[in-house]
Amino acid sequence: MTIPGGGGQAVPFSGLDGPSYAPIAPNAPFILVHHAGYPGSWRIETEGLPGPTWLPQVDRFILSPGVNGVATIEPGQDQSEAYTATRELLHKAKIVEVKAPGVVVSELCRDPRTGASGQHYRERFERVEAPANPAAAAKVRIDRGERNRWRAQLVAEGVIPAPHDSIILAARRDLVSALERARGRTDVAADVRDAQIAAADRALTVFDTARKPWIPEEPKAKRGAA
Amino acid sequence: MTAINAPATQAQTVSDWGYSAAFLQPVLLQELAERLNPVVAGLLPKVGDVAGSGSNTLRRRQVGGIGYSTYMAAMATEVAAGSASGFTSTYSDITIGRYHLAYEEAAQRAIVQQDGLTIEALASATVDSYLRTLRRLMCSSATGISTAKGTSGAALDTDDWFALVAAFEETEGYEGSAIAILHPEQLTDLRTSLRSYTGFQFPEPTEGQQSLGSAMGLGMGGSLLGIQIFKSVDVNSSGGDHVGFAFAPGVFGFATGDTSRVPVPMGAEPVALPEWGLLLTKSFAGATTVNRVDANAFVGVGRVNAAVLPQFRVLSIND
Repeated sequence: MTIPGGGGQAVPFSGLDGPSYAPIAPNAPFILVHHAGYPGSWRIETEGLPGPTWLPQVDRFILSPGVNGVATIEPGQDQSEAYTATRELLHKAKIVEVKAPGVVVSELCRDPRTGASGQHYRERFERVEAPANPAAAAKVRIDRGERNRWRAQLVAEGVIPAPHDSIILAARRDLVSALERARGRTDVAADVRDAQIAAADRALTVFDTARKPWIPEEPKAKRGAA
Repeated sequence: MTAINAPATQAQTVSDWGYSAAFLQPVLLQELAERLNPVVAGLLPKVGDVAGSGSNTLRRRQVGGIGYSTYMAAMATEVAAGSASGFTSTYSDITIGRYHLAYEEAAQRAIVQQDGLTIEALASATVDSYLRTLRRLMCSSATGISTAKGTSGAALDTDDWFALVAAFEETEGYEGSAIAILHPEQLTDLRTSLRSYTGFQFPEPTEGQQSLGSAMGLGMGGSLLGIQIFKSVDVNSSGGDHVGFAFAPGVFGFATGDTSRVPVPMGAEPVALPEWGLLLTKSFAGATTVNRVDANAFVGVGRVNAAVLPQFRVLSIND
């Protein structure tokens, strides 16, 4: 298991300018996980993709001493020993660690408000945006399209197993009941009801046509082939 | 000597004889900071102490398949032999970690300061920092909750809230009390959705708005459909989403290490708050004239698992 945050990362000497700091408060390291088999662990995404696609949720699992099984270690102990109970917790809860080298990155940071400095951990799809108002906290912006493509790749490469049918069926049941609810409404104007029916119908169509990346696509027939 | 031309003005004399500002004594205003105390708010009870246990981990045993979890078997005949039942076991852990905060002050500042922010005042402020640390640990623990509600990449809306309520109510054994801790932006999104939720008829949107107060107390954000809502900027983010969470009371708990057991040498003037796992010590370095206070906390936050009490992450866009 690769868990970040061991001893910090080497920072190249930056000469007279000194090191550069991201203008944000330090945070705890984290690993990326997938809560396999749990409701909400797969969703349909569109941003940055050729069409609606089922993708696994990839979530942060914070590694901070005193939480999620993380222990404070003795000097000289290997950092990985801090995570002994964490591994057990992940295993027991059937949480899959998403091993993706280079996705979790860290950089030196300094909170412009408090001066607290340290490491800021983020995904490589994110960037820290300094606030225009110096009294406000920095924002972290994410490139959702790039992250979605990476999530699709995880499925294609088999890093994350296919979802259980019940997760997909439960999500469809919600959409069908939303459509039925919209159709059965008598307490709103006809045009409002029609718009609601159309929206619910559209959501169901997207659901039924969304690409399932765990199912290999059949090769397209060549034009003119017999 | 500075030449003061007639007429003598404040602008000319201020640099030699005046002040650029006069301080209003004894006022020292503290900047705005979220003061949600998860312990006082009843969100995070203390569940135990590892002192003298030989371990940094407190384990809670959990049992299933007995009592209300099971039925008695109907017997086919008067003399049929009944078979004995088993049960299930699991556990949840709280591992304590060490947290630290220190302040230093040089003797010369102690001599000349007139702001009242003494090293002792800074030491007493560490207790609030400890409580904030507990809050952050609680939010971090929530990242391990497996079931997610809300919609990743979309604003939190009324439909999500209905789905969250349904998730609680469809959990067998749920007894009707639920708490949510949301990022303030999630609360804003929820309020925005309430304003335009088509299904509501007057006065429902108004009542919904009124039940979501923005300042009902320290961190209390009101309640909606039976879920008490608190807000905190310590709620984590992940993949462009806020990771709020909702849970039945009792899901979270914190454990400490009794700091009254720590032998502190003479002169350190220790202040131990053993029930919080907190130890404050002082030191003075004569060579550098530096006074220092160190606050060390030995504390951890954990969750019981979802088989015991319902708990959900509440995802919505962080934008």
